[in-house]
Amino acid sequence: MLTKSTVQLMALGLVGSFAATAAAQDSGALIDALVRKGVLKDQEAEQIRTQLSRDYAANTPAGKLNLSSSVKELKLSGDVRLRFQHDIQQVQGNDLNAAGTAPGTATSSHDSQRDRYRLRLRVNADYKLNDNFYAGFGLQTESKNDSGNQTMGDGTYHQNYNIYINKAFIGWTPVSGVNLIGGKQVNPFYTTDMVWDADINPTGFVQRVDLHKILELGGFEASLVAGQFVVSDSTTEASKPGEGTRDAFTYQAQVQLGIPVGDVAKVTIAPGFYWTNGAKISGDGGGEYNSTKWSATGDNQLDGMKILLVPGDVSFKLGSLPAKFQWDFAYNRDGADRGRMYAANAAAFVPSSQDNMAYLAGFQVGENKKKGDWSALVNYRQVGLSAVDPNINDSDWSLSYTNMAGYKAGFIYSLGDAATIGLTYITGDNLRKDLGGKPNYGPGSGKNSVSVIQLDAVVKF
Amino acid sequence: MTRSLSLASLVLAVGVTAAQAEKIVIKGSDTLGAKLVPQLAEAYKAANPGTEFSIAAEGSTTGLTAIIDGNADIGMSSRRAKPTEQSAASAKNVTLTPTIVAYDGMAVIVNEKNPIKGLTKVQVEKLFTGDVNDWSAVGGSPGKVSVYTRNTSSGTYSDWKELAMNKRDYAGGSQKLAGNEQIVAEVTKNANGVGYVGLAYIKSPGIKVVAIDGLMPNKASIQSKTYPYSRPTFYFTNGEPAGKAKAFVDFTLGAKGQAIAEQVGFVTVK
Repeated sequence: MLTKSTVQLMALGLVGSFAATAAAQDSGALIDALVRKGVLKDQEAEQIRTQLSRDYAANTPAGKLNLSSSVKELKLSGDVRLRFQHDIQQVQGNDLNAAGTAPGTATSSHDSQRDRYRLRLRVNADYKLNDNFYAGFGLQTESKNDSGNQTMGDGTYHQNYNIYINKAFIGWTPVSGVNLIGGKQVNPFYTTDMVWDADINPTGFVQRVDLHKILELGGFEASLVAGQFVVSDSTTEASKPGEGTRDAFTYQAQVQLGIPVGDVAKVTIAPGFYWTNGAKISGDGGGEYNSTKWSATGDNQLDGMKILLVPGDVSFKLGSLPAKFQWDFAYNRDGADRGRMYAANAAAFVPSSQDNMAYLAGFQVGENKKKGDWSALVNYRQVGLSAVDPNINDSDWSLSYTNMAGYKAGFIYSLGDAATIGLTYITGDNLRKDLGGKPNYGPGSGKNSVSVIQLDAVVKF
Repeated sequence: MTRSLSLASLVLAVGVTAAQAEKIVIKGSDTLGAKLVPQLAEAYKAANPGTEFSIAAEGSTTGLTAIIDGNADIGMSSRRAKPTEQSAASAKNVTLTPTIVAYDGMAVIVNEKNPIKGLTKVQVEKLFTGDVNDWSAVGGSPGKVSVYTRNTSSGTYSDWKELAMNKRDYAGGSQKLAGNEQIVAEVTKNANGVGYVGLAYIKSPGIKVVAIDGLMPNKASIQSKTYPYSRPTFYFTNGEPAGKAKAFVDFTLGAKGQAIAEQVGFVTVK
C-alpha cells in the first residue's frame, strides 16, 4: 500500500520530469490538480512551480531570452531564397525602325539574354508591446526597394554582402479595430503585382479601420485603409522654387470589402484611388523607387497619376484545396498627361485610350503550408503605357516595363514544412509597337518582348 | 578637553544606537503593501523594539526586481516570478524563493447604483477585453462601460489577464490606475464603471461586489478554491528566508500575523 508521502514523492517526480523540457511551463494544471486532491500543499506546490520555472529559465533557449518588460510577444522570422534567373529582352527598335529588318528578327546588337544566380536573405522581428503598441523591423540583402536579390558574383571573388533595413515601423491600436502605423512597413493594401511589387515596403503613414471589428456586420468584412508615403525628400529647395521645393508624396485610399457567399465562397473587392502630389523628383528619385524606367521624363516621374484601382478575388475550395479567381483593374484618369510627357520625348507618339488602362485576370490553386503541398497560378495582364506607376509595379513581370501584355505562370512544391522549390515563367510583348524605337524614352518604349524564367529554392525560418 | 570627550561620547552613542536599530527593507506589491504589510510592520515593531521598516509598494515587478538587484530583504508580490525574472536572478546568483503569506480574492466591483448583481466568467472577459462596451449587453441598464484596471507594473494587472481574460488584452479605452484605492474611487464616481480590487477594499462605500457564476469572494469560496479569481500572495526572498527577513516572515505566518491578515481582508494560509 502506498503511503501519502510516497504518493507525494511520485507526484513530485512526475511533475519534475517535465522540467527538462519546454513543457515545464504547462505543468501548472497538473500541480493545481495535485493540490486540489490534497496530495500537495499550496506552499509545496509553489516550491515545485518555482523550481520548474527556474529550470525552464536555465535549460531552455526561450527561458534564457531576457526581453524588456514592455514586450508582450516577440516573433522572429525570415527566409533565404536561392534563385536562378534567365532574362530575354528584344529591343523594339530592331523590328520597327531598322530598315530592311523583319519584325521579330533579332540581331546581336538588339537582343539581350542574361543569366543570374541570386540570393536573398530576409530577417524579421515583430514586437507586441504593452498598451496596444507594436513595432518591428526587417533586414535584407540588397538596397533596392523592389528586390532583396543579391546577385552572386557581383564585386570581387566571394565577396561578402551588405545588409539593409527593409522595415522599421511602430504601430498603435488605440481601440480595437483601429490601427495607426508609421515608418517603413509592409504594404497595407489589398493589391496584385500589376500595381504593387510585393517586395516594396512603402515608407510613410497608414491608418486602418476594420469596421467589422467595431460593428456587428453579420459575417461581412469592411475596412478603410489610407496611406501617405514619402517617396522622395526634396533637395532642391534653394535652387528650384515652386513645385520643386516640395517633398514628393504618393497617396492611396482603399475600401476593402469581404462578402461571404454562403459557406462555399468569399468575394473580396477593394476599390481605391492612388495619386501623387506631383512634386518633382530630383534625378531618379534616389534609392526608394524603381524610377529608372521613367528616367526620360526627368523630374516629372510623379506627374500625371490619378489612378482608380479595383482589385479583387473570388476564393473557394476546389476539392480540398483553396482556390481563387483573381483580378485587378487600373485606370489612370491623368494618363493622357503622362502620355504627353512621353510624347515630348518620342515624336512618333499618338495617344491611345489603351495607354491609360491596365487589367489582370488569373487563377490560383493550392497552398504551401506543409511538406507535400503544392500551389500553382496563371494570369494574363495588359498594362497600358501610363496606366500604373512604373516606380512600384512588379520588377519581375516584363522587368517592370509598361506598354506590355502577357502571362505569368508559376508552380511551387513544398519539399518540407519550411522548404519549397518553385518555377515561374513570365512573358510580355509590347502593346503598341508605334511608340518609337528609342529604348531610353519612357516605360516600355524600348522592349518588343521580355521573358523571364525563375527557378527558386526557399527555406523559411 | 572635557568638551572633546563629551562630543566623542555623543558620536559613539549615536553609532551604537544606529547599529542596534535593525532595518527591514520591503518592496513590491501594492496589494500587500498598501495595508497589510504596514500593519504587520507596526505590530512587529511593537514586539521587537528597535526594528525599523522601509516599505515601498509600487507593484510586484518592483519587488521581484529589488530582490534580484539586492535592494530589499523581502519582495512583496501578488504574482509568481516570470521565467525571465528567474533568468535575471540566476545571472546574479540570486535564488528567487516564494513564501505564500495569504490568499487574496479579486473582486469585480461596480458602482452601487448599477443594477447588475452577478456576471458569468464569459461576461467578465467580454467587459474587460472590450468585446462588450454597453451594460445592456450583460443584463444591465444601457450605458457605455468604463473599465478601470491596475497599471502594468502591478502583479494584479497580469494576474487578472490570466485569471479573467483568457490572457487577452485589456479593452483599448481602459484606464490604468495606480492602486486598489484609486479603482474604488473611480468606480464610486462613475455609475458605468467596472474594476477589480482585492478583498481588503470591497467594503468601501459607493461600490458593490458582483457575484461571479453565483459565487461571492469570501473566505470559504477562496479557501475551497471555488471562487475563480483568487490567488496566493507572496514574500520573495533570496533563497530560504534567513535572519531578520526570516523573523518577519515567521511573524507574518504566525498567529498574530495571520490574524492581522484576516482583519485587513485577506484569507489566511491555514
